[in-house]
Amino acid sequence: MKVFLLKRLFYTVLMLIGISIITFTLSHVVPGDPVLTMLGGRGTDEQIEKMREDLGLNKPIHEQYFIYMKGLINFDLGESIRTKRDVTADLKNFFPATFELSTFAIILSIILGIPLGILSAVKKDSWLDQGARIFSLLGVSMPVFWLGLLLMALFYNHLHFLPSSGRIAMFIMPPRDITGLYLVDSLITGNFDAFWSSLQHIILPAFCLGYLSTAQIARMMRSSMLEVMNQDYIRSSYSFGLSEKLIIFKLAFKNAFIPTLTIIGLSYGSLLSGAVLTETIFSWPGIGRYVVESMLFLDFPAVMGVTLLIALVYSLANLFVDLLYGFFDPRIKYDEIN
Amino acid sequence: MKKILILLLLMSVFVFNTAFVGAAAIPDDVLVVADNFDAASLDPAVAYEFTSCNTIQNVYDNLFVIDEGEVVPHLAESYQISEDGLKWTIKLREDAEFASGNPINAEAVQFSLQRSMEMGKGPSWMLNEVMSPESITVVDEYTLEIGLKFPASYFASVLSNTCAGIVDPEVVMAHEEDGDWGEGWLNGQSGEAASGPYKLVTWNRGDSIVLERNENYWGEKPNFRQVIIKNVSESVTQKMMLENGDIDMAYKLTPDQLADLEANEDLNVIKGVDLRAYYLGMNVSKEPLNNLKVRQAIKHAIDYNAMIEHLVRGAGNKLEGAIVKPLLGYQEDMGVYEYNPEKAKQLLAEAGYPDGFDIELTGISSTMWKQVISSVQNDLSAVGINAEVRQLNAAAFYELFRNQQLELMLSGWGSDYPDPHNFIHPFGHSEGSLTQRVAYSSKELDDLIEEAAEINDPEKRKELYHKIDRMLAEEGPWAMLYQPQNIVVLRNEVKGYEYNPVRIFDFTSAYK
Repeated sequence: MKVFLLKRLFYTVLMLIGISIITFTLSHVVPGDPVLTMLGGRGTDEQIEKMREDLGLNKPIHEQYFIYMKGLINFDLGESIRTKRDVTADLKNFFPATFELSTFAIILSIILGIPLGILSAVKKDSWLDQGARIFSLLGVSMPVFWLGLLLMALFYNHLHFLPSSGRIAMFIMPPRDITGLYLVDSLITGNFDAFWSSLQHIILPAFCLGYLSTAQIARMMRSSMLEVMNQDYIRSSYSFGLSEKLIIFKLAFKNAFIPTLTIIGLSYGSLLSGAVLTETIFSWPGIGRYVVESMLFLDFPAVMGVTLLIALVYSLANLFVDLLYGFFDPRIKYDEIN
Repeated sequence: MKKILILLLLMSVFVFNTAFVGAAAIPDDVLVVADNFDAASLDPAVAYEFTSCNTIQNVYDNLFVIDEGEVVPHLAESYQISEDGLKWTIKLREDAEFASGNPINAEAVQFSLQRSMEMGKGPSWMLNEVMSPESITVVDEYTLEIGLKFPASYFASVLSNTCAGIVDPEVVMAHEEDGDWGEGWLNGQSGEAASGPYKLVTWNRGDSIVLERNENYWGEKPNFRQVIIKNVSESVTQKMMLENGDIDMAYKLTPDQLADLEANEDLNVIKGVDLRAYYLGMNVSKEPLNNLKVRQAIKHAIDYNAMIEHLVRGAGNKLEGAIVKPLLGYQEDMGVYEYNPEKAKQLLAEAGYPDGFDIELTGISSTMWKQVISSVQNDLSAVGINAEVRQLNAAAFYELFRNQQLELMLSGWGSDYPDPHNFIHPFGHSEGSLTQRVAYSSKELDDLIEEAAEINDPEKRKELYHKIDRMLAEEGPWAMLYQPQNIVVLRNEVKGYEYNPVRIFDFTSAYK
């Protein structure tokens, strides 16, 4: 186990270095110059030269890369060209919002997707199964943008059930900053007004963001459940007269869950990096919008910072999922498979 | 399973029923405005896009401001221009104070202007163009002398830009780090350095900016205690929030939303001129655009009115010259060129291209520009010009643009300071920010433009601008497409708001 963990962490570091090289190169070979983006057609040549110099853009690319990596070792991600702040400060500002949204979304997807998939499999071809399949089909085919606007038009504009945008109501003070996650911070500080308001604000975007994963989870759960239910040991269990509840939840579920777990791990990563559209529609002050605006400005320190952070979280999430395999299937031994 | 379902149902009912905790109506002394971008920097020496500039106009006062199209002294009480136009003596009001309580005196003004120039960030060129940091001298506590590089008659207009906003030297320098002129601090929590009607209290990045009334402000106190600038990126969301009363004002709604907005009785729609011009540029270093007749043919080939009607649903004005409404020298219906495909074909034939030609047409990739580009492409193909369209990201576009590598290009120019010089120079002078990108130069125009920039008598200046603008329309490398309008929408509860194209976030006269 220890060897496995160490190996994985070592690979993670290697992967991050690889990603840093690729992202850095890509963001520097893209045609265009961040200084010109800032100035448009304006400014004199001397001013442009000075601004380039201030940003270190006049050095050769490998030199710029080493300067960047030297900073990175000291956890210094450089200064954003667009916001003129340390990227670390910007990430600290925007990442918790995205983390909260994605985590809430994946939890929502699990809560909705797994029961839906199991029900679908157990009551195969019933109206419930058909309904669940239509729900899943919509989930994988509906564009997030459209879904978001639709949800907002319905729940905000017509029914007045839920707020339209932001993380918390305008005239409620956000909770004291401990973790940066409003739901968690407001609970810790016992600020229930802030908690309810944050909860209401997160439901629509989280559902919108998580709908695709919900559908994927439900579909995967259904198919692997169907597969397992046809296996001999399940049939034997039925013939021994074990209760259906026990068979489904204890015997079938644990085996059928492994592929779904993989999907969950992968989904979580894509939720983190794919929150851009959802964040735009619901004005969620997260990292997705930050990185898009940064890209438009060719603000590569910001783009680098976000890419590295997401890659890190993504690989940690998948490591966590890999560890969970062992919990669901004790036959899996970590040190051997490596 | 059932239990869980019931529990979930109960929870959702609870959440829905207590819906909108705190979503009470906006208080009467608070104004909430939606904007679709977050500010990039709230330091006046750095800010150089709309959201940032609109916001800090409320925070940092200027020597001069624009009121009803006129440049009027503001923090300056009076000013004198020397005979040769090279020396401006500016006398300040003596009753003005920063939010910190420090006096706004000549030293503070000198510091603020020098700071902007020395930092050399985005907007600094407009100050550096007319003066140098050393040319500002403090005569006495409330008097300054500024020496100019040339007798720029529009100097007062430059001083109304946000980069000439006055900051509190003592407070700013107390927060300086590694020679950053206090930028790190000003770009965030700069409450005490304010000289304008509001001070910045909170900036929740990506979410909102909160301004609070500056009780030390010398001028008329604004009615709203607080102004919240809320970042709502989607115009559809903005519209819904406006209809539901969750915001008081939105100003970047799109023309396709106009009909709906105007039909809503709770809302007040203002279509105000935007000091901006959209243009089709023709690089005269490229064949056959060096041919005057070809350029004239292209100017006649474009259906300007259709573009205004269909693309922006009427929210635009026709332009021929480079000077936009309502600046000095603007002419309605100049009558130099208009949509006339027959004439365009005839001009092409005269130029030796009876069957047209192939050419590249480049624009920036965005939905709006995509529409403009296809519209222009259609019009050109109707007279036989086959335009191959390219859409690039802004960074790539400007790189090619600066290197004179584009043939036909579409873009826009927005004002830095509200003076005709800020349009005529870039569009007409051979060293202008735009003209040099299309390799156009005319000695005659250069001389006239330099002359006009130095005239102090508005009538004489106007006459000269009429002449220059007409010459540019006749021979120049630009087919001016149109001048867009800003669509500002307010809820009816907000009264007294006066639209000012250079100070859209001026809320001093507004109240609820």
